[in-house]
Amino acid sequence: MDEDRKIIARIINGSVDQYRKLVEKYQQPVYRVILKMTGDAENAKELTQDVFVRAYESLEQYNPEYKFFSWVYRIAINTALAFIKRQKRFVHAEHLPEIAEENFNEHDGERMQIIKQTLQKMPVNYKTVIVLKYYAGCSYADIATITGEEEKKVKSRLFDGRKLLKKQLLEKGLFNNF
Amino acid sequence: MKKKEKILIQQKIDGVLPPADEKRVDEILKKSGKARAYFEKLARVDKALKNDAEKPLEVDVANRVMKTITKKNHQPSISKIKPIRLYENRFLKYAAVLFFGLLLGATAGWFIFSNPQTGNTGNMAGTIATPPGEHAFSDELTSIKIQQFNTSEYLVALVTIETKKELNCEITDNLHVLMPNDIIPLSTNRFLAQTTNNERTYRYTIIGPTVFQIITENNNGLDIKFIRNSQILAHKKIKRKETNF
Repeated sequence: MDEDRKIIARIINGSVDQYRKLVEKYQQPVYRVILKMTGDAENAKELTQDVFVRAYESLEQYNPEYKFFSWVYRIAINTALAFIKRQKRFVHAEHLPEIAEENFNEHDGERMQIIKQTLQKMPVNYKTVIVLKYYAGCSYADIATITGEEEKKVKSRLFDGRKLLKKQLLEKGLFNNF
Repeated sequence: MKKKEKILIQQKIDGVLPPADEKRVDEILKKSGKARAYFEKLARVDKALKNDAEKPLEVDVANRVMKTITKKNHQPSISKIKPIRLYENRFLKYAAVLFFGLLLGATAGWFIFSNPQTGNTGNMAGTIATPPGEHAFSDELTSIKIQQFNTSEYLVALVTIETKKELNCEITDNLHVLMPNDIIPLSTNRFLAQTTNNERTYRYTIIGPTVFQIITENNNGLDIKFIRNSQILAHKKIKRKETNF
């Protein structure tokens, strides 16, 4: 994390090119988070780009007390939620298209597909903590920083989210095939 | 199973179980079939999510991001201007359109009324805008119109007067070129009287509809005054080819 802060200091002092290092370092997890939140591979790339541009533009507002990736994930989650909100104006949640991730193939199997679809239809408050936990590899504390909630609340939400996910996966007979 | 036990099992799966609770969770799992089933199912969900998360994704936005921010870096002020945000609210957009429309209209109005295409009528109260070469005055008792025509040699003016109250008209020629015959009555209601005719000024008293024509070789211009009760209602100077009021 110290390395991130050094890079940011150099960027603010005028070495704009240094920002590439941060983008290359975090573009995969940020893309993954946005992809899981939105379920839209093509738009997720555009949104990922927007996240990094937005982060750069407001870099002077970044508080070095926090981890850079926490800050970027917060922007990513907000961007994804805004996108979902916009999409819902046109498509009712019940009629959201099946997840069409570009890297999905037969080897992923039915199980993966069910997980993705179930995750996609989860309420955003649960989906956010699950995505940050599993797809961004964030700790409870990191998730608390990103969502601006207390760690205790994060644990509770993660508990309820996984419970809901487990229930829905059971209903879809996922564990029968395990 | 108690909720607290479920939370402990989750913490075990997440690898954040406090060491003090390790033994306790192990005991629960050993004794309770329900707890073991819960643990196994949750572990499967956990594993499935982790497997999904480990799948490599192809994304490379670095070049596009750098291109965008480098471009913006050269024009830092642009990123601070967010014009679209102003119009996010539909009513603000309409208000903005209305505002700019009114502003444009007011500007156009100001321009038109402050720059009439006709000659400036000087101190004439009641002057109205007229086409080029035409001058007019109007109040509740009198309407005066002077239409000016130019030839290469002559200044020609057609003066039309409609007055309900007696009005004096003085035409002054400083060059002494204007002759009495140069002022030609055209209407049947002729001048009431030509009261004065000194060397330079022709004075007429007028009432009712009156039309007369002035034709002169005077290039220096003529002064035409319309006077009622010793007060000048209108004062014009007409000149060949151009007018100067």
